[in-house]
Parts: sequence; C-alpha cells; structure tokens
Amino acid sequence: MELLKLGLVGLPPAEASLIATLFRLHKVEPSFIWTLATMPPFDALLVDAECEEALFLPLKGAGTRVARLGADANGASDRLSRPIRSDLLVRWLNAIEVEILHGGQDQFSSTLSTSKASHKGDEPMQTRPPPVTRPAEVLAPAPTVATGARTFKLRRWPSQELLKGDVNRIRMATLLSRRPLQVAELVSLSRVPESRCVAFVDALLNARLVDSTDLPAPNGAGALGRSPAAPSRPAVAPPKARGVGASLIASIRKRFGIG
Amino acid sequence: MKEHKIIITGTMGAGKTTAIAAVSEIPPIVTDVTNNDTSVDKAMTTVGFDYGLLTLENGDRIRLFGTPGQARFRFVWSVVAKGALGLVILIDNSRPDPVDDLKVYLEGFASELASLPCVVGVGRTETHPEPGLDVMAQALEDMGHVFPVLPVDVRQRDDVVLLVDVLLSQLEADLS
Amino acid sequence: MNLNELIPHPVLQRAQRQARDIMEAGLGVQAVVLATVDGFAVTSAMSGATDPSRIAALASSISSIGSVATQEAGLGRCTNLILNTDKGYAVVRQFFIDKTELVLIVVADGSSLLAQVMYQANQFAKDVALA
Repeated sequence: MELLKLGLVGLPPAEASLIATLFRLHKVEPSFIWTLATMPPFDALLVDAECEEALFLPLKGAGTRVARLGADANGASDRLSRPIRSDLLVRWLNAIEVEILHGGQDQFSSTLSTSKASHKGDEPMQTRPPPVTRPAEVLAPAPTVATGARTFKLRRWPSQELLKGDVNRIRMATLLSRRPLQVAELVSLSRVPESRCVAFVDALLNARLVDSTDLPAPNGAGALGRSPAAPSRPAVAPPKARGVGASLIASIRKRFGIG
Repeated sequence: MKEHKIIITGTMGAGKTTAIAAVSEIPPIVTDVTNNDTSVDKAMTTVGFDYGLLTLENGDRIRLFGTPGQARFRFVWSVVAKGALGLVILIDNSRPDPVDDLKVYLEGFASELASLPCVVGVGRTETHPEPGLDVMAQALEDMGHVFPVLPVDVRQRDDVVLLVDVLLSQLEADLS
Repeated sequence: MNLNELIPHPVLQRAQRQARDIMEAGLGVQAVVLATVDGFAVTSAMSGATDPSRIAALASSISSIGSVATQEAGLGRCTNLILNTDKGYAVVRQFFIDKTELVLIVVADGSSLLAQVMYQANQFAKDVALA
C-alpha cells in the first residue's frame, strides 16, 4: 500500500516531536498508511495557525489538504485545536485518506434526506482519481452532516436486504449499534467514504432503524470535534482499562487476516 | 504477554466447537462427552468448555472458549465469560424455536451483555430460512439490545472471521 | 433422556439405596448425586435444599475438565477428583456401568474424614456396577 505523506510547517519542535511519536505508535496498525515527510509532494500539510501562507504555498501540491493547528478549531474541517489530540489528528488523516483512495466527490450534496426517496444502493468504490486542482479556499467547512450537527444510533439491526451482504455496511451498522455517532466519526471508524456513509445512514433513517439527535450549539464540536457523551452505561471497566486498545484490535485483525 | 478471550456460546449443535476449530491455531481442546439427551440428534455434547488459541505478533494470546449450550450448565457461562473481549452467540435455525433459544443466552449472559460486545450468528438459514433474521433482530430490540445478527456457516473460516470482525468493530466504537 | 434405557432398573434401585445409606452413615455427607456424564441426575440423596440437577451438571463439568487435564498431562484417564474447601470437600468419581459412563459426586462437610468418604464413593461404584 502506497504511503500517504504528511508535512509539518511552522510547528514548535516539541509539537513536531509529539506528532512523530504518535505516528510511531499508530504504525503498528496495518491500516495506518501515513508517514511524516520533509520533502514534497505532500498529501497533507499541518500548518501552525500563525504561519503565513507564503511559507507553505510552495509546498502545497494540487491535491494537498491543509489544516491549521491553533487555539480553537471552532468546528472547521481545516483546523485542529491545540493541544494536539491523537484521535482528532487520526480522524482528520482518515478523512483525507478516504477521499484520496476511495474517490471522494468534489461536489457533494450533504443534506441528509429524510424523504422516502428510493435508494439504489451506494456508489461503487472508485479507484484513485486523478489529482484535482483545489485552491485553498475550496477547503471550506464540511457540509452540514459532516460537521456533526446530528448523531445517529441504531435502534434495531437492519435487514439483510438493506445490508446487501456488504462488509462495509455491516461494519457501519455495527459501529452505529454501539453508540451515537456523527457521520464524521462513522467515516473515520469505518474507513468508508463519506458519501457512502451518508447514503447508508439515509437508508437507515428511511427504514426507521436509527434514532437521530441534534447536537447542541457548537462549542468546538465539529467534523473533528468530540461527539456528545454516550448514554450512560452500567459501570463496567472501559475497554482501555481492560487492556484493550487500538493496537490490540489492529493486531487481532492482522492475525485473522482482516483488512 | 497478555491474555484475552472471546467466548462462543449457543445451542447444542449450533457449531461452537466447529467455529473454534475453524480459527484456532491449535487443535481445540474439547470436553465432549456422550450425549444422553434423546431429544437432540447429536452423539456428543460439551459439558466443560472448548478451548482454542491464537497468538498475536507481539506474543499476546487470544483464547477462544466454547461454553456448553444447555441451560443446566449456566454456571459455567459466567465463570468463563469473566473479562472476555466479546461474546458470540450461535443459533441453530433448524431448531424448533430459535428465538426462544436466543433469549436463553441473552438472559444467561444478561449482566455481561450490559457492556460486552456481542454478535449473533445464525446457522442453517439456507435450509431453514424461518424464522428470518429480522425476527431475531426484533426479538433483540424487544429485550433492549441492538446486536449484529448475521447468517453464518461456521464450517467456513471467513464466516467465523466476520463474527470476530464485528466484535472488534464494537470494541473500536467503545474506544473512541 | 430415558433412564431405563441407560441403566437397568435393578441397578438404579441399588444406586438409590447406596446413596441413601451413605447419607445416613453419619459421615458428615451433605449430598450424594449420581449423574450421567452429560450432566443429568440419575439418583440422589440430599440433606439440604440444593437442587440435585444443578449438582449433577456441576459434577459432569468438573469430571470432564479433570479428564481433559489428565489426558493433556499424559496421565491417562481421570478416575477421581477431590475438591478441598475451607468447609469440607467433594469427591467426584467416574465409573462405568456396562458401557454407560457415570459420575458420582459426594459432598461432605468438615466433620467428615476424607478417606472414609473416598472409600464410600469407591464402594458405591463397585456395588452399583456389580448389581
């Protein structure tokens, strides 16, 4: 699998070192295909919020995604908040990866329809598209659904007709069965393109199989923001306390040969 | 080196031992004895637990435990399920009342299922399509659960692996 | 399960008598349960309110795990298991009547002597098998 490259511009050495450490930790996961690079071409750039555009524009290629690292992301999809968080960094990288490798759409209808319009199933997976010239301004805040306006929680396991025997749909349904998720979280966890996630959630809504909850007014919760607190569960040790982490899950998947 | 476990339970004849054998790197250790229950057409039955093993790259081990299926061995269920990563419930759709069978395990593992990832694998659906999986899903919803329900043939390694993948997805959702 | 098909009636009667005799022998025995190898109670004698079918299932589980353990250790077939507790012990004995494998569990309190209870369990197996 071809590695995707992230470049860092204008970050303090300590922060760059932290990101390098996070990358080393995530490398144990077979699905983590990012590497830190110092030379272009970059698939993504993480730039200090105070850094002038002139400093990184020469490094930016036609398809390079850029995010600013600063005090407050305010829900923007091209911003990450300090102090840097591993889960939010990976979520941003995953979203880019899905877009690059699975053919994200340039024009994208984001409003999650609750109409009874029939759905003919997901768009087929696309091969990596040719690079698209995108001026920096096009990286606008993600559409409504992806900015986490709503969360979705499965109420009942979907029918086989809806799942179509598709492993990705099964995985998405499984994730939604566990706790309320924003679409952005679903994209990040499932590694399925956003358009397919939206189409699937739309189908679940039409079939009345999900509960949808509007998030409160943004206070930093956006595409890369924290999802609302999950409904309280009985006090049982959380997975991490039981020694279950992302690396264990990745190891088990690798051992079973699960992609 | 850490030890983790995945539990496989379900009705007699649902394929618990077969499922473990499909993925274990060692020949499963089984506690099968002669079946004297004439209502079930099976020569042997598990009365202790089945045991399989997988070793991960870093040396950690995943132990696979198959529980006895009959309710009279319920005391084994909670002992074996303690500290597990997840639970697989295998249901044989050719039995007289598979939904009732499912309820036995949902009740038997009730305290564990408050937080433990779980997946229901339904076997023999090709030859016995009724009750459909939607009926199982409805039964789960009625009991306050939303667990994945998948048709499986535990003789096929890929089907067993899919069950494990679904458990792992649930753990991933719990982590984030 | 049809008990009569598994165990001849005279044998069953003999087993019932033996179980009662052990209970009444003043050895501190709390329960005697004869079970099929897959956990069904064949006959029992109990002093408390414990459910004999539960004890039968327990005995068959312990017996099978013991068998697997001894075989994995290369020690051959397990014939006896003794569970020592702070309040007494349980003796689990496996034996055959013709080709039918059975499991006997004798549960005793702290006032009993282990050797005596083991002797009674062995005698039970011999007498019932010969009946």
